[in-house]
Amino acid sequence: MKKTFQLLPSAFIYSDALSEVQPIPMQVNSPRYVDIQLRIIQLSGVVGNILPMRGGLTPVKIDIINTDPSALKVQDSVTFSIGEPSKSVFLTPGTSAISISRPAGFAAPPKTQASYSIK
Amino acid sequence: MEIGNAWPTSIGVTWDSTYLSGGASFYDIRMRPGAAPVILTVASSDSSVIALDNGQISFGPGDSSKSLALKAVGVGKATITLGVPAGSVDPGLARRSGEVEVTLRALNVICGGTDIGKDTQQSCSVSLPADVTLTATSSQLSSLLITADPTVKGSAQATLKGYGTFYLQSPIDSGTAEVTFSAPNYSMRR
Repeated sequence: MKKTFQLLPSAFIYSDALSEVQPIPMQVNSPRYVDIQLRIIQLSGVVGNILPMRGGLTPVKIDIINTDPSALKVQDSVTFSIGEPSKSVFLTPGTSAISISRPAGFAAPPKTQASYSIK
Repeated sequence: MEIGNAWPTSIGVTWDSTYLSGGASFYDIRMRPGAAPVILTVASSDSSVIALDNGQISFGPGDSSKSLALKAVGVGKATITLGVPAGSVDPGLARRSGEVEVTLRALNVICGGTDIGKDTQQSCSVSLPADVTLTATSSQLSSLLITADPTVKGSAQATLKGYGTFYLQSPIDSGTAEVTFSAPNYSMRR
């Protein structure tokens, strides 16, 4: 039995960056969890399925870039290890924009940044 | 029958009476108490296709039917023929023989998808009898690695016994790669 597989780029995606609604409304005292996902990038550029990081790789550190740390609190980075397809980060309200770094060897996601407004 | 069965398949052998006209009755006929055991011989026309664990069946008092264990060992056709024990009427060859065809079983591998991102891994699960070894082979080591352990870097080939999951890993971000899944006595068809 033979199966053919399409080999494609993959990228770390900040899931809120894919939201059509920007800035994303947040409320004071209502923190938010956001996923950073390792996903396939289709040839068309569309973001595809989430897949885990393959065996044999060293852990990959993703920096979280916050345009205004005084307004929105978030951790500095997350680290993906073998077998992990997704990690969550925890946002504490303020008004800011968040993006993530692109580690070497991984593709650029179609959208990189999400912005938030606090009401 | 399909070759690769891990267990024997049984067929019924019925002790029955025959009318003088030659037709078989449909009553539940059992051997009477006190009767001596009757030994029935069983033969396979091709033991490389159908093997018999035991070449005979014994009927004793109270028995009305017995099961016969057939083991599919090769692809092809074989005829199973019962002998006629002394003191019994021959019901005719058509009533005491039957043809069995043995085919390969289809291999079923279920993958999470057919896309694999660079430095990610896609899983493909299989479930076979515990004594069957399944092999997955990459068409190109430089583009697709295979392992049965998701925590390690794969290689060109991996094996599993019985059931489990293969992990297909891609170190590159373009092109296609083929994986061949094979197991002894299982069909290679898609």
